[in-house]
Amino acid sequence: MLDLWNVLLSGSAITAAAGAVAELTLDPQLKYWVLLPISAVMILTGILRQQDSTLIAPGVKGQPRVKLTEAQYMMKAQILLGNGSNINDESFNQRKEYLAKTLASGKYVARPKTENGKEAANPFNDPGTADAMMSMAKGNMASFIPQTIIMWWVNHFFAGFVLMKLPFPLTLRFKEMLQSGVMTADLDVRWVSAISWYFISVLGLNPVFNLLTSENTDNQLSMMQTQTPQGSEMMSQPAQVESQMKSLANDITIAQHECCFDNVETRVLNMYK
Amino acid sequence: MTFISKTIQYISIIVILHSGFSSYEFHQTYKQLSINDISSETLTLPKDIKYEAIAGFILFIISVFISFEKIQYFSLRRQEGHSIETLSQGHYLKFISLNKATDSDNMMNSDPTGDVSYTPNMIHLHEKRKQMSDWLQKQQEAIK
Amino acid sequence: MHNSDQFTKQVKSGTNIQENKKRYETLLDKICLMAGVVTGILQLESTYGFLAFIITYLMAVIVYTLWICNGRPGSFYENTISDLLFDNFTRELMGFIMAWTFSFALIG
Repeated sequence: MLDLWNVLLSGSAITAAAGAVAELTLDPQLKYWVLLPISAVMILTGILRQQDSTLIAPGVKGQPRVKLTEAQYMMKAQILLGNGSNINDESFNQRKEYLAKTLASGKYVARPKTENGKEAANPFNDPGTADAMMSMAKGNMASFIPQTIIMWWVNHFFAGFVLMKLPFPLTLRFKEMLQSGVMTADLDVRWVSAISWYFISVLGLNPVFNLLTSENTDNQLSMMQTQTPQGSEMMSQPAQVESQMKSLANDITIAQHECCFDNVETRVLNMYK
Repeated sequence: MTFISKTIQYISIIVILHSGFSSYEFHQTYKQLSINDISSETLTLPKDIKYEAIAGFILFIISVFISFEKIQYFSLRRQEGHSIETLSQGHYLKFISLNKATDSDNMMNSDPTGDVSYTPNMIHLHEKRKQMSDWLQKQQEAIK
Repeated sequence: MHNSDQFTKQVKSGTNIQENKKRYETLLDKICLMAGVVTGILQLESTYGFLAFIITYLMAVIVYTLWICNGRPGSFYENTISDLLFDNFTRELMGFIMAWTFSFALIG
């Protein structure tokens, strides 16, 4: 009886008497030694990746003060156009006149100290664009490399055996992907190998990460708000900047001002009618 | 309230784990029986294990909902006759229309733009502007 | 008039919108992961398992609307139907399937 039990536990297939679906008897230790390590590794790499995002993220680059001034004047004009309805007519007109005059005269355009002929118009030589591209590449690599490494690890160490039975049926297309190590022609798709647990985990670990990192939410919200003013300087040439400023000055001069204080009494009365 | 919700949560997790263990034992026994005696009648999971699992789940859901508390604030300005007490709007979530959302700021005397409007240069701004415009007028009159 | 149309629309507080959505998402995460574990304990198979998920999800939405939102989800979420029902559905379904497969394999 014990010998029979040992033989059966080593993974041979027994067809049920009714002959519908092959019920495999698998070693229960198999599941403990495969499911739990893969889950543990994926959860730990996910947490590591979240903590490392501060190390990989590019630092705040310093820019010369004249460039900041020029960028801020343009931003001020755009903000005036966007939010001008919140101030009254007199304030709006004062700001409009001052900004239109300043932008049209090009007083705050940052001009480089070298001669114009030597300027490299090549965007690849500009250190600002190089940094922006590096940060994008680093961000993509940070999510792509751990996934590849874990997939290789699972295929290398946990290959060649059937692990578990999925609770739900799938079509035959998935058979090749989920039963990668097992070369049988008519094993039901519900019996899968270890790589299927990797795929299911990749899709389903988002709630787990959310629950595990619930302490950092406040910091993340405030960090997102303080990081938005970082601008990547893709164009640094005075000619482009000057034409931008002139077009902004035009937009401001022709802007219609609608004040939110005009009909405020009627609106308040309507709201509390 | 969170203390009650934590205790109910731990109790529900223990109940679910216990029912899981019972279910595991049942399925091991069932597999052994079906291997030895292929023509056994079909056994299903006993009702008490099923009910225990579902009861544990319902307790867990209740504990998750109880963990929501009404949002309370401490008043930032201690006024005469008021002790430090918690003020509340009486809701579990925050309002999203701005006129109701800023009610909580008014209630606890906090100014959300305070870090700008309380910088030393901006205090008494209107008086400073008036002083400046008066001085400018005097200069112009003195020139005339 | 154009003026009154533009200004009668209520201004919303962005941080409060995000915060409410985040709390709802955390609640749904906990409920759906535990639902997966219980479905695996009960060894429910394909149709019954997904049915259990749908029932759990809908019950969670209904109880949330009635109890936490005090019956007025419109004052805490803009686009209530899409926010409460559809936004998190795929993510919770994947988490449910993962927990279901895990406990189904361990218990079975």
